[in-house]
Amino acid sequence: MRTLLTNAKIVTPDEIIDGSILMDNGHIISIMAGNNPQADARNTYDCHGSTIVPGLIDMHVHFRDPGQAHKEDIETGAKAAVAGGVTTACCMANTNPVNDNAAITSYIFRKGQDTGLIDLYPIGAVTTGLKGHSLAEMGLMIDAGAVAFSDDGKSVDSSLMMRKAMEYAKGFNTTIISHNEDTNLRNNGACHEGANSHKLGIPGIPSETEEIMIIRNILLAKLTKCHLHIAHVSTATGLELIKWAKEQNINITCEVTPHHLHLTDESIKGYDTNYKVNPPLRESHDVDYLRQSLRNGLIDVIATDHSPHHFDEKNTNFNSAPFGIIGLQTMVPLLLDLVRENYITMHDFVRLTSSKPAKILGLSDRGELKEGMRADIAVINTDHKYTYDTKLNRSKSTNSPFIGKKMRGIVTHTFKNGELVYELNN
Amino acid sequence: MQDEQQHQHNYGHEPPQGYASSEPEFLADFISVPNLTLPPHILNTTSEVIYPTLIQHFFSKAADFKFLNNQTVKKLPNLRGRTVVNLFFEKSTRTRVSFEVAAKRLDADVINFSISKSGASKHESIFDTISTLDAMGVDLYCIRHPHAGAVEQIAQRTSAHVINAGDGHNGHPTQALLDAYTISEHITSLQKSNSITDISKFKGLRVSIIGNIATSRVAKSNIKLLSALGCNITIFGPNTLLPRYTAHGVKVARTVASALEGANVVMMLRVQIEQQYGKGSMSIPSAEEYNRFYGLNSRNLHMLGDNTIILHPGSVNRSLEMDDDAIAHTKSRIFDQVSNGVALRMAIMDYLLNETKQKKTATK
Repeated sequence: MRTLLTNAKIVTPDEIIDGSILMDNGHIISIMAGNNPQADARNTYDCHGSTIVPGLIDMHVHFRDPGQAHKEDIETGAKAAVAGGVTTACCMANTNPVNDNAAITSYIFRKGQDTGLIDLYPIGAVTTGLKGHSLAEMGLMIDAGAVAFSDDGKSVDSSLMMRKAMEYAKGFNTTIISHNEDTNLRNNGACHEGANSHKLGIPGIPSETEEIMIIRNILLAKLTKCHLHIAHVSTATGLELIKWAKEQNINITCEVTPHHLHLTDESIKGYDTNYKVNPPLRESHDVDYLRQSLRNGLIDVIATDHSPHHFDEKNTNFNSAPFGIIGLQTMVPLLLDLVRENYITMHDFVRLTSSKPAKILGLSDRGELKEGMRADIAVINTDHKYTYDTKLNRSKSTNSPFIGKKMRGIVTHTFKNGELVYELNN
Repeated sequence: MQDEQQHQHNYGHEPPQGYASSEPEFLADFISVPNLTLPPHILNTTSEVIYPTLIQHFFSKAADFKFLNNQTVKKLPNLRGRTVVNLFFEKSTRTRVSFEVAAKRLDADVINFSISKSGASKHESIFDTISTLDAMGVDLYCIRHPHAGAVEQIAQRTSAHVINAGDGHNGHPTQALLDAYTISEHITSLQKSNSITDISKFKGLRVSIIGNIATSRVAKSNIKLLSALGCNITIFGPNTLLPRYTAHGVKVARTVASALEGANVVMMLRVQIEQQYGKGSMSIPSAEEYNRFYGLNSRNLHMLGDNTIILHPGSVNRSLEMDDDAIAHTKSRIFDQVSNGVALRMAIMDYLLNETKQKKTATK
């Protein structure tokens, strides 16, 4: 269906165009300056000056499906995604059963397609059962739709196993996404180890827990020449290591979550378990360094690590609660804050949330607004002020530290393949 | 990894003297060894040990012995009165039997010595074991050892001749020689004018070796021998089983299809289930995945050329590296390899014990 969006600020690769965007047959037909273009569209939406960006590509979500539908399922996950402007998501393998075989991969991929809302690309497990002992069937999973491999939620503890996994993945020209955590060093830690954990009496997770594994994985990427994507970097030193690796031309990319760009360990007040996340919220100098690294390209991708947990599971003491924060619907306003504070431009926004993830995943049909690309589009009212609450929330779970917080900027419409898949009710 | 290039097939129409000047560096080494110093041992397939005239000699003799092996009475007295010890430090049935049959066909006294049952369990040094056997008057050892270099170390300490029957991940020269002989036999059958001993036929042949290359002594010995003979070698397998460093000129294929297409010889290697596959395996996820992406199966057999042959060094894991269809295929030369193995080993034993004029001096 021919659809026209008018009166919008369109973030194209080269410039921001005040104008209109015409979509048909699932693709972008043209992007035109000016507000009254001649186009025989069946549907016309007046965007009232809103900003249009490519549908966001979230490389890191947990949809808990199969097996933990009380937290989330692919249907509700997809609804939360489009409400956050996300039209392509990659879900991690720590489902139950684990996505370590083609049957589960295929189930996830097809169920994602069945929602009609987003493209859901499964990330296969690196090792069977995420146990870190034997290789999972990567080739067969790729045939079933897997786009990368990760034991996310757990590190691959054995360096030999990780080497073999990277070597094997290299044979298929695919990507290993690493969760970086020295399990022994983490011990029973529940929040960042620092003055604040001491004050609260919560067992700490030193930054080195993450950094040791980041550099190990970097060195294995150097050895194997496999593409390594380093998930949810949270520390300044971690980024320094990544900077070094990039200077050595080691084949790596990395991602940072919106919550690690906004919250510190000092945010954990009153033992609110919605602040319990892994990697943990770090210190303010880490947040500063992360923010500074957005613009210079050191950080490749922003991904949510959307990790739903049921209220009952989070409704316990801090030490016992599971790690995880939901993030699909807060990514856009949190990044717009960084635009307003001049840490990034809207072009950086698009690079971090769409074009670079598309490149990493090899999705050449999306990630930029230009003619011929897939018509995956998010319309953002960048100035809308509101409180993010459970009425807006589309996820089955509510474990976000931003629930009840004031936000600025919201996705008003999301289009997938040129079809309207989300509209903000107001 | 490089992609393969297209090759002009050359079934050896060029004269053997083409060897001399315009060959790759490795081959220059290969022919520069003076043929005067005859090797008292067959330890590996490098140029110091195996050179063209020796290969021709082995092939010629092996053809004779193969003829003998097809007779009702399969016996010659070439090794009568000689003592051959099969010294196996590692489990083996096929190779040991092949050596044993070879020695017996030539009328040697054969002793099978499985070392795990003897000195090794008494903590005797293997070199002392060798000295003890030497004192009993052994003429030839056929040795298999789980550790690279051990056979060579023994050879340095014994007054007898030594054939390496496989040492760790290092070498398996008799396998490489019998594979080369099987290839030579095939080309000769295609071109009646070409003699079994004409090794110029190897020049330009495309040989694809598929499977565990990194730790396979069969692959290692074959790559050395066949590339020295002028074959173009392509290797393929799971990246976990490919070597980090490849010899000069060896190409690495990206897919099984690109390894099969245009190959004159496809050599499938055995997946060592005990080491590489199954619970706790770090190199191969599963039999199904291995067969699908790295195996020779009904999906890809049609990619083989009309005159392509399939080799496998033995004890095939059915449905893992090769489907039943591939094993039983008319292109398969797996059982010819076994027969040729006996003949070739007879040729080597006969050569070591009857042709080497100089008495070997042990370098103690």
